Amino acid sequence: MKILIIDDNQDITEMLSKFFTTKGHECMLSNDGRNGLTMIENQKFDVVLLDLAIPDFSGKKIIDSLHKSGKIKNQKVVLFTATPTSQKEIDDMIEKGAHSHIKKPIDPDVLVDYLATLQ
Amino acid sequence: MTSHQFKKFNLILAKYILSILIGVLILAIIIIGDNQYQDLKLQLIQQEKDSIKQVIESDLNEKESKLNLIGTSIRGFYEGSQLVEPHEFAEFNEGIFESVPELKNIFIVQGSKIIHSYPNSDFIGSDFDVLFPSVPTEIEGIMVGMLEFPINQELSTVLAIPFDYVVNEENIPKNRFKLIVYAQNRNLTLYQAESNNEQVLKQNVEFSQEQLENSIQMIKQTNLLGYQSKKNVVLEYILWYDTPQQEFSTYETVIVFAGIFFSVLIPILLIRSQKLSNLLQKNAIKLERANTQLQEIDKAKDEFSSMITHELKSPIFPIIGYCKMLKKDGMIGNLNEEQLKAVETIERNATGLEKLIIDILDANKLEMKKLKFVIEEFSLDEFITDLDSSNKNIIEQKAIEFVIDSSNIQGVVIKSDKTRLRQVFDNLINNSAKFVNERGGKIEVGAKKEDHQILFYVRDNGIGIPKDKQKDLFKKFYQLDTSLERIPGSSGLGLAICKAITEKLGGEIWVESQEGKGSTFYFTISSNIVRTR
Repeated sequence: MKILIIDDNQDITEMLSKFFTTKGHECMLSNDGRNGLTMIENQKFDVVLLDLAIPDFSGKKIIDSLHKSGKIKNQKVVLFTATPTSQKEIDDMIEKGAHSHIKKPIDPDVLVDYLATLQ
Repeated sequence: MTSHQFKKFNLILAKYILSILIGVLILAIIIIGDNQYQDLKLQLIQQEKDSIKQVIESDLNEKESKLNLIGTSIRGFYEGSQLVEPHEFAEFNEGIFESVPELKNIFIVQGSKIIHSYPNSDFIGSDFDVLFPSVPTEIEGIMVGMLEFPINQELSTVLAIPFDYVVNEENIPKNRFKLIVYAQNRNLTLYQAESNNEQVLKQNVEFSQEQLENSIQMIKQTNLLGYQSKKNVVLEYILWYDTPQQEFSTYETVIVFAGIFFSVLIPILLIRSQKLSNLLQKNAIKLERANTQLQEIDKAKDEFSSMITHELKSPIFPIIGYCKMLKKDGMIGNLNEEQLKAVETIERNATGLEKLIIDILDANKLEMKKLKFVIEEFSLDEFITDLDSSNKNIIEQKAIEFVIDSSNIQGVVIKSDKTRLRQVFDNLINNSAKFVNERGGKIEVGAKKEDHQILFYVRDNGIGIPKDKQKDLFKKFYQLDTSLERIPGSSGLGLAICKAITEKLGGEIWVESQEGKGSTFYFTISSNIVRTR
């Protein structure tokens, strides 16, 4: 799988990237919201793991932008949160085209298994 | 002061001033009203006096007319016959006296000689001017005035009229009265009478100052003293009678006092109500401010909470992730046994920390009642069977025998919150694992379908819980052992969370335990059974 991980926490992105890579998947990272958005728009991924709590340019803004441009339809964006975002906001984003929602922290094995089911 | 505050201040000041003005107005109305009332009373009294005057005057006029008539008729009598015999005169006079019995005497005077006199014939032949040098005069003890009516060039009639005649006491109201009739600017008292409850005295009448002030005073031009002065004379009447005092009646007093009372009370009440209203407003503003502050604090708390959650949970992720990777041969190189053990310790502690953070956050959410529940269908026996995998670490570490009994719930599918249910189990299993011994520890879990609920249990053969400690077990932050040697990694929240969750899912939680023998934690949830087998 070609996976894109967008999270401002470098430790998390590096760790997950290492994990996914050793499992045989191709993994790209972004620690910046705007940069991540550009990557989604310009490349095709099997799954995008999107952290919502990115400072300056949040995951929500990315979803809104993708929804407006219509480009969200081409990607499977999985929302990734540690903060207790309201269910309403989650539902809202899923309506706008996000695929699903997972809570941090999660066992990386479980995460990989889940992402595999999305293929 | 802002312009808004200035306007408000002016408004409040206006209200105070208005309140006082209302009081002043009431007072003014009462006073003016009373004045009007007094004036009215005075008017009425004056009217009464005027009417009495009129009555007296008309009475006097009537009497003067009568006397004039007598004079005229006597003249007529004499014109009729030149020579009048005494008995003729007497007969004629009888008629007159019938008409005006009060007359004292009638004289016929020729020059100054009295040629006729009736009824007192003693006067005949005397000189009038000698007999009666001045007028008024006394005849047989009675004060009389002399009224002259010319008959012809030689003769004239003189009527002697007692002053009683022109004072009609019947026209004077009340039982108490005083009357003086003066002539010649009070140099001559013609008549005086005083009455006090039907006793009439005809001498030495004196007025007090007050009585004078309240008297009726009349000036009357009359020809009653006509003879000799031969001109009209001015008589002065001073009449005093019992008039109602211009004092305050009880009714008036009450009204005035009530008026004064209210003119003070009402402004006071209005001002007080204004002050209260000001106070209320101030308090309302304070309350609003406090409320806004609270809302801001609440919002800040929520934001802080969010931030904390994120900041606490995020580091756990890479810690556990890398531990897992280190443990897997080849992922990040290979570790020797010692290194592996170290990594396992790190992982175990990180997992404990993760659980602690989740518990604390959940407990916080409990307080905020924000604990979320997601209801879904799931197979109960699959759920129970899966329980050993989520607690593998601690079970393996302490070599605990873990037994699952799903025989009673085969094929049962229910609707509930799988995650929260697992959370309860994890908490209970974790607790049991803490209290069993290193060797020979055994934990059994199972479920049973009952009438309206599902009963779960977690049983261990650990040290058990003393009876006196059992009742407080499910309270927040309660720990069995708060000494320094207590088992680390417990926040005291686990059981409280279990209780909250089971109650939310429509059930209860309780424990049966004996010290030294072990404990069994039971909990129930509403059985929203979708299907069985």
